[in-house]
Amino acid sequence: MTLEVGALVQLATRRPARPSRRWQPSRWRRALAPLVLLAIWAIGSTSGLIPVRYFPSLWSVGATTLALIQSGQLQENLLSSLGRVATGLGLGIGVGGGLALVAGLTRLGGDVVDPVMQMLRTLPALALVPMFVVWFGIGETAKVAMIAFATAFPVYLNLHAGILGADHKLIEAARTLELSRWQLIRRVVLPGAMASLLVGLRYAMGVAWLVLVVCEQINATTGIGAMMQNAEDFLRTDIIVVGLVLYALLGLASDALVRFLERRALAWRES
Amino acid sequence: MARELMATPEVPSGSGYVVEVEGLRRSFDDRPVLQGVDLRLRPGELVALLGASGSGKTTLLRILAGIDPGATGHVVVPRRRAIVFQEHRLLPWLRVVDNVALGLPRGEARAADLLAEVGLADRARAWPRQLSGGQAQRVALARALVRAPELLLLDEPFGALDALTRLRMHALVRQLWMRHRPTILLVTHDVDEALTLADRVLVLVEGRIASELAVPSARPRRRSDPAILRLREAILARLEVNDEEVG
Repeated sequence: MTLEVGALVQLATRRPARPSRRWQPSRWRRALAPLVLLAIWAIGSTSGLIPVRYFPSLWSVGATTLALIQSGQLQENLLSSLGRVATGLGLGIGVGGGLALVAGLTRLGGDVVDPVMQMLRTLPALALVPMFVVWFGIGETAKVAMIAFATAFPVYLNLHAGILGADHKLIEAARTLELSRWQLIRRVVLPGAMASLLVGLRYAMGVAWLVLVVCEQINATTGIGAMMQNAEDFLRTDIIVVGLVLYALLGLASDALVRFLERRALAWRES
Repeated sequence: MARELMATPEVPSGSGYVVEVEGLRRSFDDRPVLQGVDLRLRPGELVALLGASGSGKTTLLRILAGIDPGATGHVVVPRRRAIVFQEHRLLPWLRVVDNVALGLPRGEARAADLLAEVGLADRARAWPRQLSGGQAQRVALARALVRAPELLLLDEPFGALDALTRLRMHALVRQLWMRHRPTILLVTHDVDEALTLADRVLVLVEGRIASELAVPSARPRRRSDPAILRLREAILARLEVNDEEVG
């Protein structure tokens, strides 16, 4: 009995760097289902159960990926897509975040900016694609602007809500410490809104990839979407699947990025 | 005499009092809470403010802290003042030492000293979430004292703590008070706490200071001391609590 208690105490006083090890069995279990699906795909194609005319075999997709990498096409298109998302997302975060600060931190800003944003956010961003083509043409500008527009809203809405939701009691306590307005914003309001902002960022990234897919399939000569569009003309389903897998991987990568940011920025609330 | 309370309360003149309050009134939605409070605190004294819940003790404290702008009357408080609330109100995203230093620009060294004084030097790098209730209140005390306040306002700071921790906190507050000698106004609803700590006990009834009782200064104080017992009864009577209710 005493031994057990001792072991428990030791566990409890350990530094919290351990959880990753404890999580591993579950991590392996989580990898199981995707692996089974891959196996079904491989067996299905080779046995002819999945007609390769409609869905390429695992091997041909692998070979195509290698070929696309060797010819440099994959890297070129990937970089082009990444560039669009990075620029558009950067602009969207800047504009959405800036507006949220103005609306959340000043009364005038709240009265002027917020109603407009609340109204515009109900528009399905993709329905605006034709207008953006009219305004910005069919070049890069329209694509980047479209991504920026669509991502500004989740950033705005979440950061704004986070700022408005600041803990009144903490602000009051900070006031009694004679913090200046700027210090109050920097040390109390913004850190309190950080969790909310990161939720917004996660949404924004999802939206960015979605808009990118649509924009690149409308008119583009480079990018993953363009690569897939060209492949469609030649019924190259293998290339289309490579594009799909790329999109999926990019989505996963951006999720991992946000999770990393969360671990860094919200270390104070991890248990 | 009564006039609008200024957003930045006045600095004491040569009157010899640290805090001077006259005819202080405060209403919430036409419901009067404070109805003409007069209060004077001398430098370095520890005064307890007792009152039933809803009697306006916290309101009075908040006015003195400068975070309740809706009051009228004459209020003079020192510029260097600090408040500890019932909840610790530490910023969860700042480490303990940074929370303490928050009230003092470039005050990290002094913050470390104060943390040592409240016995938490080894918790300087911890997050507030990792502290117990008593530890968090000690950090809040350190954060208040780091500014070397002339007036320290305590708003039921031990109300949420268990009895043992509360006793330890009493000892700590006495220690810190002896060392730094701020004027302390302690709001509490605990008569025994008031009698353990204070030189003087004020009882707030229906928005006015209804009585003022000096506590015999002998220390350490024993609850069984007949003088303390008589005071306790007198205070409970003023709070309109009779013996049957206390048990």
